[in-house]
Amino acid sequence: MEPTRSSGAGSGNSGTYTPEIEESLRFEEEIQSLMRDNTMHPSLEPPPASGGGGGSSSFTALLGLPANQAVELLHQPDSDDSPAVAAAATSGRELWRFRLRDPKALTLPSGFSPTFPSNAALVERAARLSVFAAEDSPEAASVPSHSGDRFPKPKAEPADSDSQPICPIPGERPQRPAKRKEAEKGNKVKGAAKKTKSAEEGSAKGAEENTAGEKLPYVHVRARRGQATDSHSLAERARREKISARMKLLQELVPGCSKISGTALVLDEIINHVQSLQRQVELLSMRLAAVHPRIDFSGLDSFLSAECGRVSVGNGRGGGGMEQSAWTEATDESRRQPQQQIWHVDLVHPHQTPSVWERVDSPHLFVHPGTSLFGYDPANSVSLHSNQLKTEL
Amino acid sequence: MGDMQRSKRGRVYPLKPNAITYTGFTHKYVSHLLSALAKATTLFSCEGNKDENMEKMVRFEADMALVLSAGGFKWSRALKRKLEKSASSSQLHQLTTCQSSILRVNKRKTLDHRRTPLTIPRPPVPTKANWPKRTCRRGSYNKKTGGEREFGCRIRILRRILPGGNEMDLCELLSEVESYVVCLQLQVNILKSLVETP
Repeated sequence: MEPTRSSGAGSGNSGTYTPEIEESLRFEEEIQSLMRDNTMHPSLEPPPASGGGGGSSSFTALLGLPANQAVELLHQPDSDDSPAVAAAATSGRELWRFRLRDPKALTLPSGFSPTFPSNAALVERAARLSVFAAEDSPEAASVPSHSGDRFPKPKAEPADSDSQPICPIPGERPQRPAKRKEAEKGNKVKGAAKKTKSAEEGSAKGAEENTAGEKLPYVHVRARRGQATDSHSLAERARREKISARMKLLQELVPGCSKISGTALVLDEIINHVQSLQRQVELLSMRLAAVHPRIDFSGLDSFLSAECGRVSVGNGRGGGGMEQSAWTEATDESRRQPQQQIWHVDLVHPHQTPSVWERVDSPHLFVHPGTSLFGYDPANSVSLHSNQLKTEL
Repeated sequence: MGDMQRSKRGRVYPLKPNAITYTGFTHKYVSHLLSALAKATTLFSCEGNKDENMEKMVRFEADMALVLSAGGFKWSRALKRKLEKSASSSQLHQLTTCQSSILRVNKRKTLDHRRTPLTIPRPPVPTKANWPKRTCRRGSYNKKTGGEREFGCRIRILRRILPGGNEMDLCELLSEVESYVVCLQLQVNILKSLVETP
């Protein structure tokens, strides 16, 4: 899904929602097309009076329903699918231009209330965004109250004020970074920088994994209390935080760095580690060169390529396939997760081939704990088979 | 996959290297290395002065295998460039393997099919003795604080160690170091197992 390009203006249209709401599939389609195309139906674009960057207007206003009915509608899906709420919340953050199949000329103020799509039961969408479920459910609870307040046509300010607390929460949707971030950044630059970074973090705790800003072009940082809010220092602070995040990752990667505090010492360790690895590669290549002429590699090569295929397939429950499946689904997530899965696999794997492990008798391969294990299993699995082959040869 | 594409383009630096790039690293590495070595063996059997050339060739092939199995990182591209430079510049015995490796790597570039590479220019690895604070001192007019200077020193050393580190900015450098460490570790594992088992 591409990020929406438009910034805050007006919002979409929703025609008479009452019949639409019941048809969840249609809404899902609409929302998907909305996200895909991100074009506003010209006839339906309301006058941008409501402004409000990505604000959420009252759902009831869109519907033209009485407040209680809208709230009821909002609450209904809230119970059954909080992930839908998540989807709703996240999409609600953005500029909603609903392109319905039948364009209706209902003018709407800015955005829709975030829980609107939940009515549409975007289960499919929600499933993808299940990460946000946790943090969005409290938000969803807050939204209906808001929508109840602003029944008729929400103005910019309630939308705006509503958007502020809600915006940051699921904000880190990787699909729409630019738009929401721009809106938020615009707010900040105007001096609306809230000094409540803790509030943002508290509400975004569920989205921590994605908050790392892996795919976001911007990393938006709220100004801390008592710190300058000009763009330079903000950018610098964002940069610093990115760098320190990377340093943390490196710390975890290099064995023995996690206890060290202080960037310089950590860098020391990293440098030492890299140098030692490079020296090891040199030494091993020399040894390999010495060993090499005695070994017929050509036969081994074909064996190994076959074995590698078998290994990867055979490790479908174990290392290889597990890695792939784990990694393909973990593209967005932290690297730790695939590592953890692989560690589980590593634990499983040795038990499955105890005899082979004993035969290998290479205890040094097990020495390095933690992250190194990540690299060990595939190497070990290959070496095991090469062992068998060589013993057979 | 979009994530990986973007990381290759380098416009967005993902905070953690995409785990997908490590998938199959081992297999690729082993296959590259073994095929290259297999070809080299046959060629070398008739050559005199084997050891030195063999060592260099093996080292080259090890690096080349690393490059080929871990593409998509800036350091891997830089290392490839370095290997190609040494391949084209050094005058040594003809080794088809190296040429074919390079050909595999560069399908478009026209290569100077000259003698092969065996000297791999390794950057002088600075040991701990080489970088005490003394060497980093710039003089009293230096505005940087002591801590920053140390940090800068170490960053410079890191740039020297990492292939292609000179052209990266800090954020990129740190993420590349991470992937480089992982790939190096994998390479070491593979080489260990290759050396020890037969």
